[in-house]
Amino acid sequence: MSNRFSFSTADEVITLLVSANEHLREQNQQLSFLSCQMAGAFRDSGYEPLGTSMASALLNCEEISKQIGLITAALGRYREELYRLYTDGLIQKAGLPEPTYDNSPRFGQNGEALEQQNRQLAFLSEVKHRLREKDIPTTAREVYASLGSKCTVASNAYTGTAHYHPKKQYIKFHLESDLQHPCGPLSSYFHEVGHMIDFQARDGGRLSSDASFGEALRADCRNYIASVQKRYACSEDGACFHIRQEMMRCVNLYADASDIMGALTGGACQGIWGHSQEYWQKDPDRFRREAFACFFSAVMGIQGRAEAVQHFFPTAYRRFLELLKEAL
Amino acid sequence: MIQIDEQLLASAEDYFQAFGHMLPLRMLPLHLSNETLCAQIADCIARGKDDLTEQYCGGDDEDILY
Repeated sequence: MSNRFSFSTADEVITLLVSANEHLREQNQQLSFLSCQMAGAFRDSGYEPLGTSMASALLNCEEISKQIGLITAALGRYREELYRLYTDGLIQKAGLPEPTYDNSPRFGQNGEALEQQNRQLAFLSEVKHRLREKDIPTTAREVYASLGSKCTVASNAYTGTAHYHPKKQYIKFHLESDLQHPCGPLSSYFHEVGHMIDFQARDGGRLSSDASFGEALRADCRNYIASVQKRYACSEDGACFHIRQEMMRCVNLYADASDIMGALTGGACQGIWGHSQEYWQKDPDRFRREAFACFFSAVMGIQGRAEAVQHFFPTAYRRFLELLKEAL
Repeated sequence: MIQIDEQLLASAEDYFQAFGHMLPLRMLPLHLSNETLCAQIADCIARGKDDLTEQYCGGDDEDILY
């Protein structure tokens, strides 16, 4: 039995128990009310033993309800423990070392080494946090643990634009800046790792080359613009204006959508974030590669980013998760 | 060419300022692809960061993905 099956089974049982207990309490309250109403009648008619039995049954019901509550709580703790073991397994699979705090004088005397060590600890801490985050799809975390975490980092102090080099199969980024990325910690790192997964998960081809993924991206973009046109009863240009304004309200959460909407509309529906139009023009297929990396960074990112991607690209997002499963 | 909204531009410049001499990692703000960007790059070059121009142009390897 897999962990995932156990989680869902435990969740279902907990939900059933909570529901059953609520129902039992409601019934008990009604019975208790009835018992109070009939107390006088029982006494006057000489049926006091019936009233006593009823009171006893009510107490038993309360006791059963308490027991169900205890079982539910125990099952909840079991589920949490199971989840902890599962995420520990993910971290182990990802090969992330345990943080070690070296307070020896050589670090104390060398500020640079200490800073570097702290950055590395912050990186490990953030990645582990992501692997334990319940809101992140399990598939994404498992793909990162099995493949993404093995990505070669040629430089984590690169001051140019972070990138993935498909021929040399490495990424370069700036860890210190990325830990404070406006779109959430390690946004660039997970974006570049997304490129790496796209390139290396499937033998002889890229996951993002999937025809239906590209079609879904285009269709979702068209549909979104059409829906805004309908909502505001405006032209396509007017819809693009409204979309730009919408993106400006949540600049960083919409960064990934801004990038891909910008690619598909020649920049007409783009917020602040995005690759340059020159970049898109060099290769018409780049929007798929970047969409895959953006989606991966979004699902591994802070709460709200994946939801933003789903908001603009619902079909493509579903297809992305299906493609991600192929990487397992 | 997109009409540049002053508010958008101001926000983009805030980002730029937050990152000091660097452009925002990975992504480049579209709305800076005008005189402002040129001025910023010129400023960076003046500060000895002339590799930035190459970075912005995408480098010389067409396969690299940002």
